[in-house]
Amino acid sequence: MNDFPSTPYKRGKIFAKTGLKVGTNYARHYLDSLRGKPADRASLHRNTAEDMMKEFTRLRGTALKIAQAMSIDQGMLPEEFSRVMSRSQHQVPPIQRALVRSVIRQELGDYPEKIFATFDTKAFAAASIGQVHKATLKDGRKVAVKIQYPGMRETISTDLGLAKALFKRFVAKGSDINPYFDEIRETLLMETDYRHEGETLDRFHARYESDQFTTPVWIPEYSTERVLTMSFLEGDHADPFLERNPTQEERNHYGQLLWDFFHLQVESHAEIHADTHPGNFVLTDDGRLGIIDFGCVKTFPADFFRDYLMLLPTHLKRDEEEILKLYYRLGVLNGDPAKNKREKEYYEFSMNYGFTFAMPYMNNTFDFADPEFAALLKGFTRNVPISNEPRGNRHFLYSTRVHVGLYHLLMKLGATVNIGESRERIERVLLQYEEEAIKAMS
Amino acid sequence: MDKKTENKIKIANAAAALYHKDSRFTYEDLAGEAGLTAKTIRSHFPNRKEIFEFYYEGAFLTYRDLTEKMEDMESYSLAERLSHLLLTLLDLFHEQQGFVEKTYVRVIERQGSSTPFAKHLVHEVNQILMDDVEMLHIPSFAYNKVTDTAILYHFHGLMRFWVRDHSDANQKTMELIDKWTALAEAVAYSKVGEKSFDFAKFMATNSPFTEVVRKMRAGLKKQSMNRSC
Repeated sequence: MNDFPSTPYKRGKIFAKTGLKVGTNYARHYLDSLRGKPADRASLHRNTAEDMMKEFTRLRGTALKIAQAMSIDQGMLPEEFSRVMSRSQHQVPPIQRALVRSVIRQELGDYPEKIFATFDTKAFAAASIGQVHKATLKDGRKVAVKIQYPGMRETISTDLGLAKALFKRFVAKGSDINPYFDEIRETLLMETDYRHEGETLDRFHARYESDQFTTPVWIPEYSTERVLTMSFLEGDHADPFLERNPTQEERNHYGQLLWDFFHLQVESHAEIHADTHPGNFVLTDDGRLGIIDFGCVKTFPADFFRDYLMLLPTHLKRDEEEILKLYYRLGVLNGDPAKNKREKEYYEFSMNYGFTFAMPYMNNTFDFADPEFAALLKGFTRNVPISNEPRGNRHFLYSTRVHVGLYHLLMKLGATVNIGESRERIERVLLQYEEEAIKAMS
Repeated sequence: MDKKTENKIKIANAAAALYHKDSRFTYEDLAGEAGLTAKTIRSHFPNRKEIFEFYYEGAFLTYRDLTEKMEDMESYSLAERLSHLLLTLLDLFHEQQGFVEKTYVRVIERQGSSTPFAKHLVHEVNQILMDDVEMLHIPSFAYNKVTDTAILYHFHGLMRFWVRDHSDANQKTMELIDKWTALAEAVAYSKVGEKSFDFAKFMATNSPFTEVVRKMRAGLKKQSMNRSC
């Protein structure tokens, strides 16, 4: 079975360009339709976003998580909003040092200077609901100690309540934002239990530690629900790596590792590291890809995941019949695009965007440095036709976050990636789903 | 910390642990718990009341000892230093929570500013505030008895919150300290402090309520004298 068409890359590009035009037209149409109303909606959006931003930054980690989830899934909210929201990443206040000491004592039984050989009281990285400190164990092992802000669980519940109230003012009347918030709540609450993350670390370490990938080793003796101690991975994040002016070969090497890591996870279809941003990947000196922060790891329901993966081959083949079925199942469409103008806008936009999104899978290699591809993606995210109505299965929130996050990282690295193997991986997964479905029917 | 103080702290901690199990323990019971002779204990503390009072002073001395050993204390912000004081005391109290819950109000709170613990605490908070370079614009004599009483009342309030805090690992108390000291820092750094002082100074001599305040103070004094009797 081969779900992927082998049409020439060129044709894909032309098609995608048309797609962009359609997208832009709809955006213009959307704006035109707003004209004549008492207030200028676009500037209204901007002001609302700024206002919400101010209130949001007070929500600390929760805001950060919502911002991360929403700003990548730009289809859900207007661009002004996403842009303002993504700023919140840099505004999480650090946990003060006296509190760090007492949390360590409460959790591990004594102050850091007694527990560790060295402990850096200044955090070196911010995690969404805590922060990470460098330390050395008494046996000499270098570790990273992640500490959670006290009372996070309750804070999240209160904050989400507030955030929801804020969002309701913003989204179109009658749209149901509850499923998205439930998804964020579940994920966030799971993230507050660092033992859960420790166990995840163990599983990923067993699954992926190799000459290609490396993940931290969990150190349970120094970990609790609110303190997570793990081995420290030496290496560079994407930004410092790029500052060194790496060769194209080096860029491709790390890009390929990132691409392969994602597709290996897809093939295992057990768990997916769902926090694809540059801070969570380390490029080690021995040429391996280090993956850190396993707080947000998702297991997608089989139905959703199959449909999600099916979007790739169906879009490349422009199999409209199949695409339509998928869109209904995934909640992208709420009605018949042939009869409803609004649904038609969604349908055409999604189809063109979907095609662009699937483009890297078309040939055996793909150059993520291609400025045209970046422009296309940007064009789509900018020109989402109807922007303040949430749509799509709630699991899109994290699946697109991983996938789009991966594309952005690869574009940042400017890597050319070999696709062949990953395409086979997806095909194998789809085939497996098909076999399971047949088995279930018989 | 000298050997004698260390020993006294050891005895006071043993007494606290024992008190939680049986409040009517004897010097002999305590000697067994602390691994010392009853005579030695008596030489340090002629009566039980002094042991209990010293438990609190000992907590403060332990805090000071810990703090002196910390190398990065110099770089702590005002909020961090205040938090460090409050959190460390509560960390220590946490070890003898049963004892502290039963005795704090009687041994410390009702004694006003007369106990060594209260004196240390007030002095330390003032010291932290005075040490802070950002605070230079507030004259030192602004910290008078009223401020001292306010410090004590805040601490008593914190203790009451802590006793009622049933959250896992006292997380809520930690949050309270974090938020409260951040607020205190913001107030201290803002001009509110300076302007309030300026205003208070004026009103102290010009307020139509001066007489009322004087009477209130007299009343408070009488009340606290009655309490200590």
